[in-house]
Order: sequence, then C-alpha cells, then structure tokens
Amino acid sequence: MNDYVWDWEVVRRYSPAFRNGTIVTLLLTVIIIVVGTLLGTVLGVLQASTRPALKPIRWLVTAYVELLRGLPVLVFLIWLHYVAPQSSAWLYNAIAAIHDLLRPHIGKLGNAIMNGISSRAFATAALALSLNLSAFVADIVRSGVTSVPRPLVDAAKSLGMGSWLRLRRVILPETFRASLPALVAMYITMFKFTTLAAFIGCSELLNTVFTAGNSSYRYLELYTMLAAVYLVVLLPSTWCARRLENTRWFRRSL
Amino acid sequence: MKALLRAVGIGKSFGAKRVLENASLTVNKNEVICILGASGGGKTTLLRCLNLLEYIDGGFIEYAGHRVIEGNGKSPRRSWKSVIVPPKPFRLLVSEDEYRRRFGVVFQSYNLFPSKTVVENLIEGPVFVLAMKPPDARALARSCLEAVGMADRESALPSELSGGEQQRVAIARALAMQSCEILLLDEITSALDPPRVASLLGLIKKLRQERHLTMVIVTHHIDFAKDVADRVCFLDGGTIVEEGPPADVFSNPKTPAFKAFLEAVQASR
Repeated sequence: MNDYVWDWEVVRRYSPAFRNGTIVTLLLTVIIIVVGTLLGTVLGVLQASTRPALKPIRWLVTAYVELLRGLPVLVFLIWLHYVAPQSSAWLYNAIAAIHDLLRPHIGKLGNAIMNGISSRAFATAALALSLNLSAFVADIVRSGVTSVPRPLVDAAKSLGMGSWLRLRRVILPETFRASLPALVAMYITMFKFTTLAAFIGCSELLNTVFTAGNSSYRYLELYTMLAAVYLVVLLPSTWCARRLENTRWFRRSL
Repeated sequence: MKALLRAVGIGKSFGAKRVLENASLTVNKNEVICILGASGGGKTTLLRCLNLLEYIDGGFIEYAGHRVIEGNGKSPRRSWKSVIVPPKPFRLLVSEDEYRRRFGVVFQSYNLFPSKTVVENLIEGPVFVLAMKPPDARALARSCLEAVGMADRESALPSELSGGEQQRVAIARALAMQSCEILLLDEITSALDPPRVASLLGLIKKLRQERHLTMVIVTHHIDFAKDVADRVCFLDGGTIVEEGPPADVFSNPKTPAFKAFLEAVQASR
C-alpha cells in the first residue's frame, strides 16, 4: 500500500545541523525562561501589592498582561519582527541592542550556531517569547502571592520584618513552592513555542529541518527525527520537575 | 510605676462593624495583664492594634512616652486624589517595622512558617531582622527551645508537631527576638487540655521571673487569668469596662456584662 522507501541515512548526514539547531533551540528556551520569569515575577508582585500609591502601576501591569495574553504568540512574533522595527526606531534599536549583546558570548560555539544566534530573528524571538512568558508568569505569581496565608504575613510582620524582607523571606518562597507546577507547565509550553521562531527565519531546530528537507527532499525522515528530538529533550525535563515537586524541600509547604 | 505602653481611647472599625470603641489600656513594665471577654468582643483586635498589625482609627498609642500612632476618628474629606490614593484614618509617627521588633506575638493559630524547621523558624527574626550571625542565632534558638522544653525537636517541621508543641515553638520564636520587650499572647490556652494549661502556666510564670517580660494575654480561661495575671481587663462592646487585680475583679464584679460572663463560665463547669 505504501511504497515509500525510508532512508535514514539522511538523518546521519544532517546530524551536525540537527545538533546546531538543538543548541539554538535550547539557548532560546533558557533565555526565554530566565528573562520571562524574572520580569514576570516583578510584574506579578507589583500586581499583587495592595499599596494604594502603586495603583496606577497596577493598572499598567494589568493592561500589559491582558494585551500579551490576548495576542496569539505567532501574531505577536510576526508583528514584532516585521511591523515594529518599521514603525518605531526605538524598538528597532532595542532589538539590535539585544542582538549585539548576545553575539560576542557565543562565538565559541561554532559558525553555524553563531549564525543562528546572531541573527536578528533570534533576538526578536527571544524578546517576543520572553515578554509573552512574562505575562503568564505575572499572573501565576500574582495568584501565588495573594494565596500566601495572611497569618504567615502577620507572623513575619510581628518579627519586625519590613516589606522587602517579608517578600524575600516569606512570600516569594511560598509563592514559588505553590506555583512550581504551573510554572513548569508554562516552561514546557515555551519550549514548544520556540518552533514559531522558524517562521521569522531564526535557524532553530524546526528551521534547520526545513533547510535540510529543501536540499534532500527526505521530509518524512527529518520530521520524524524532529519529533523524536523534542521528546528526548522534553520528557527528562518534565520527569526532573516531577521529582523536584516530590522532594522534602518542596513538600515542606504542603 | 511608669507606663511602658499606653493605649488611650482606641477605636477600630472593619467596614461598618465597630469592633473597638474608646478602649483604653495601660501596660506597666514587668506586668502580666489578662484580657477577658466574650468571643468576637474585640480582644484579638485590641492585641493586634497594640503592635500595629491593625491600624487604629480613633484614639492614640504611646510607647515609653512616645506617640506611636493616632487615629483621625473620622475619614478625611474625599477628593479626586482619594480615588487613586485613598485617605488613611490614622497617622503613623514611628517606623512600624522597628516598632514591631519590641513585641513578641504568639498567635492563636501559632502561624509558624510551614516550610521551615523549628530552629529555622526561631532564627529567622534574629538573623534577618537583628542581623545576628547564624551560629550565634542557632545557639540562642537552642536556649529558647530549652526554656520552653522543646530542645529535642529542633529539626522537626511544624506539621510534624502537635498543637501544644507548635505553641511552645511559637513562644520560643517570640523569645528568640532579643529586642522583644512585650509579649502578646493570643488565646494560648484555647487549644490545650487541662494538664497542658497547667504546664503552660508554669512556663509563663518562669519566663516572667527569669526574663522580666511584660505580657498581655488574651484568654477565656478564668482560672488561668486568676493565677497568672497582675491585672485583669474585661472587654465588652469594644471597650474595657472592668479592670483591676484578679482578686478584686473576680470577687466583686461591677458591671452586669462581667457578672453574666462569670456566671456563664461557672455554669459551664
């Protein structure tokens, strides 16, 4: 019925390209997770604060979160890559600055990878997906902070802790323990969303496969390999996250 | 005797509910005061107002002669600015974080940090608030745990302890703050059986003799109050209606509310 002749030789032939693409994808994921989590935590804490003086800032943060959660990631990515640099010199310069910031650090990784990372598309993808993740993290952190039991905050206050110390020693640790499963789910999603960067020409894993397929016409083998690589990276990570949730350190708060 | 803490004419509302109205309380140094009153009568609120866990909206509080907070009594005129920054019904005259260091609080529900072990709970305040070195703080924590008879459970988590044990740890945590001058104890006997109440009583007496602590204790437990208190205050309708040494107050109740309270306690035996 099916007379397609599978030729797995192509996978071996393109394995260096696969390796480079995987490294670019992983780097992109790490940048997104670090930047998105840090920014999202700050925004989430601001949103959860009850200080009256911060009310205008809370409105701004809410607008930011709703805007970014409302836009499909691919639409936001394409808009940021094609439209924004044309409409705003400031944004163009910002992306160029990220691009310049990244370039010198990855020269050692070899030319193919460096070309992937130093492209403007990589910088745009890193920015777009970081901002997208930050909106979701902000909401996770906000709900985490508001669900920290009031008595614990009272206990911290009664020890004379100031607001910064309370946040650092009591509220944020409790928040992250409570919201780690939700955060891990978001990180997995972001890892998979890095494939969208292929559509603006960032040479991450999916784009590498497109290129390899264009020259070899062995799409079926390459796409199968692609799926396998994503699973090989993702399954151990989720397994590790599950293990972390079961450690004594993590269960201490449950 | 000079008053350490003076709360005069305290008023406090939660929304439309007026919890405290013109409540006045003076705490002298080395004195143990018991606050009695019916449930929902504002005892805990009064205690929380003393160390600014709640902000009063009427009257004022003085600590060692210095004004700490004063309530406005009425909310200020609303303006367009109040939409963004709502007006406060009080004026704070000290740094609240520094002021709170002078108080140790033992909460009714203990409020230990659930993810920290017993000893970590104890060193949290000394290390991060008083900038003590961790080894010194640990030594201090151990001596405090010994004082409450919990030295053998220092690496347990709060969830692994019984209610009585958590309470002792909470007391030790308050004691470990060396800046503590007044201990506020909220309903510390309510979750304990009679033998444990007796041992807690012993502990309170010991702490008072050894550490010269001033204590304000909220309780339902009349026998406990009789035994431990220098002065008893009865709170009714948000104000302190009766006050004096336990011997006088219990044998000669003046207000009908206090009489009814004592009779109800007698009847429940």
